[in-house]
Amino acid sequence: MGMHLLWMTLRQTWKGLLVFSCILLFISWGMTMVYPEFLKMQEEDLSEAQGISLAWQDEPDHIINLTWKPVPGAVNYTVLENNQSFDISTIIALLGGDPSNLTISVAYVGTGTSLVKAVDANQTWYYTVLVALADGNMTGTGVVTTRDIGLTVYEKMMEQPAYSAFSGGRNINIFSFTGFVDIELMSYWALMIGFYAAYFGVGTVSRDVERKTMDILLSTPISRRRLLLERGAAVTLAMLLLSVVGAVGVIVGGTQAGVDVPVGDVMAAFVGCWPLLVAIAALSMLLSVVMNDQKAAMGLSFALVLVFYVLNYASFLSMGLRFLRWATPMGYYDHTGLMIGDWTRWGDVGAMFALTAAIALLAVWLFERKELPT
Amino acid sequence: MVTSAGAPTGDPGADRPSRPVIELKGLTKYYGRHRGIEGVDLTIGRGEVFGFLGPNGSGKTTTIRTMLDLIRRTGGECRVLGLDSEKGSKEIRRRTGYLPGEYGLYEALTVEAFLGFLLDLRDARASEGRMRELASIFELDLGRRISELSKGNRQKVGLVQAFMHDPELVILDEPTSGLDPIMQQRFYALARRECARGHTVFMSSHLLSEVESVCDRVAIVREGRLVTVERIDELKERFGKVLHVTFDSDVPRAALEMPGVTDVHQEGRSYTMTVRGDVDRVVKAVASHRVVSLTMETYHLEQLFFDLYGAKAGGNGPGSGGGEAR
Repeated sequence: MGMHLLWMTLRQTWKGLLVFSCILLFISWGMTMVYPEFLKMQEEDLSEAQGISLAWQDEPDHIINLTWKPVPGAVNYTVLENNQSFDISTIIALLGGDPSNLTISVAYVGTGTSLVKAVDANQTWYYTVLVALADGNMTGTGVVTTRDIGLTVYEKMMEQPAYSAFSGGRNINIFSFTGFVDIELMSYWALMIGFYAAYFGVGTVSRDVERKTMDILLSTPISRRRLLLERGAAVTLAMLLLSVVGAVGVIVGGTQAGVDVPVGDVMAAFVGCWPLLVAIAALSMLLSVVMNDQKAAMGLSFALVLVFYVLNYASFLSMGLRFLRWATPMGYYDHTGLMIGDWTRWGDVGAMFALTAAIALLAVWLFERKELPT
Repeated sequence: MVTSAGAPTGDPGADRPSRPVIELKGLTKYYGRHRGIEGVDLTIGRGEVFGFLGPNGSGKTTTIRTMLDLIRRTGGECRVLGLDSEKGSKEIRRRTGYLPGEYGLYEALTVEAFLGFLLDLRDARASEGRMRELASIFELDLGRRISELSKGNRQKVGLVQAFMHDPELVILDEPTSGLDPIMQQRFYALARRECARGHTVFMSSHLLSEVESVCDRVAIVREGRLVTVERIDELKERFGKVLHVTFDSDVPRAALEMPGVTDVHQEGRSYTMTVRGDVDRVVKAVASHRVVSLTMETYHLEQLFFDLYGAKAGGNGPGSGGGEAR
């Protein structure tokens, strides 16, 4: 008994698969090629972040050294100091209003472009420079804080849960190659291929139902179980291809960009997506078996992929939301962990396979009992 | 003509053949609350070409799809080739060919690749020669892509795939739909040849003339219920022949009233009547007057169909539909 259905499925879908693989290859390769440019851009950002920079001398007296860029036409500079976060618009608004609302102090007024002073190291201090111009207008720099001394703007960004949730709640080093690939590519990779997995999964049944070929197919002596399992096997192979393609793009692109690519980690991070994709495809197959309206099954599958993604993201926003991980198959795929060399979550891989097997068995059981629509 | 195993008029199953190919007892199928078919009893023997006749929505396709386990019966028994249609489904499908009433094909493939794929699924690559033979009977180009085929050529693909693995039983839902008259004749000849080899052909149709020209027996179904099951020739005999006669002078109606003559309609000097039994006596009685023209034809099934519906189902003509069945 040959795997005729499997091969026919691949034969019918190879063109779409090829096109999508090329798109994935292009995205993963192209994004990786951007890495050196990203590093350069970031260095520029660091040197003159917002026209104001802060240096810190820890011992013995906690001296800070604040410097700012001279502004053409400036009459003088006022450095404001506070131990609360504020932004420049708040300050300007405050200055125009009731002065008693001011909770900030003036650390310096003059025509110089630097300030050296000792501070209480137990406090976090915020500084901003107001520039009085000759035409009577006022402008200002951004805000710097002693809390961020030694941190880059991207590291500051990654401290926020809204960003670190993209890397599984980890504050990873975005300037490392793996960190860059993880944040800029892997964070939405599962969502992108997830949609294709859903499309492919629903297609296992819907393609024949919508084209009205199911009656002829099932009038041959193949069992319904065999139909679903061979189609499922075809989907599983296709998903393996899509998983590997992204890794190939990253490895080739990274090498071309002159990076010493950790091939094993990159491979693990991408191929680790495979069980997730198969699980999504199995779930979509189940929906196409349960629902008679195949277009609705497709829509619902896509919606579920999106919901899974959002739930997974939300689960990293706070410890209180961590339980959401259990409600989404994407919670069992830790691309960041794999990318930074943590390959220990075999229990999650096992759980994903168990889930897939359970869904596939349920789909077969229901399909064998299904009334095929005309 | 092979005409074994026919069950007698009105009582299918009474004279049961030694091994019925299809045996339905009280077969019932509801789609939720909607009736598909109800209490269908039918026994069909080996070597028959059996017609399953009814208007659209009468339950023909429901019966067929239940036999092939594509849908599941609500009640009754359904045995095909001696096997329960659900438990023995795989074996039934191995030995059966099926042409659905409405179906799609794999558009991107050539006819040959598609038929080859179906042969592979049947583990029947050995039947490739027969597939080619059937394609040549229907003048079907195996090298063409299916997406390029006309409706008639698609139907030929459907017919070839139903017959190509040499099945004992072929179930066809509206088999001649889209075929030109020459191809229809070739299909009838194929069906007769298969039945002469002891195979069975079960075909649904809403065309009475088609069933009349190829079938041994016919079941007529309406609104999910069997109206009658009869041999075609007995049915014709029962309904008699239609005689049209025109005289050159006025002939009194009473002159034509005799045993075996019914439904006499007069239009001036022309009469139309239904004749059953001994035709000779009627013709001689007519000939005692001067006849201008005389034609006698078999009672047409279209008329019969209409009469049956009129008599047994409250006067609706065929094609009026109205049932909820598929």
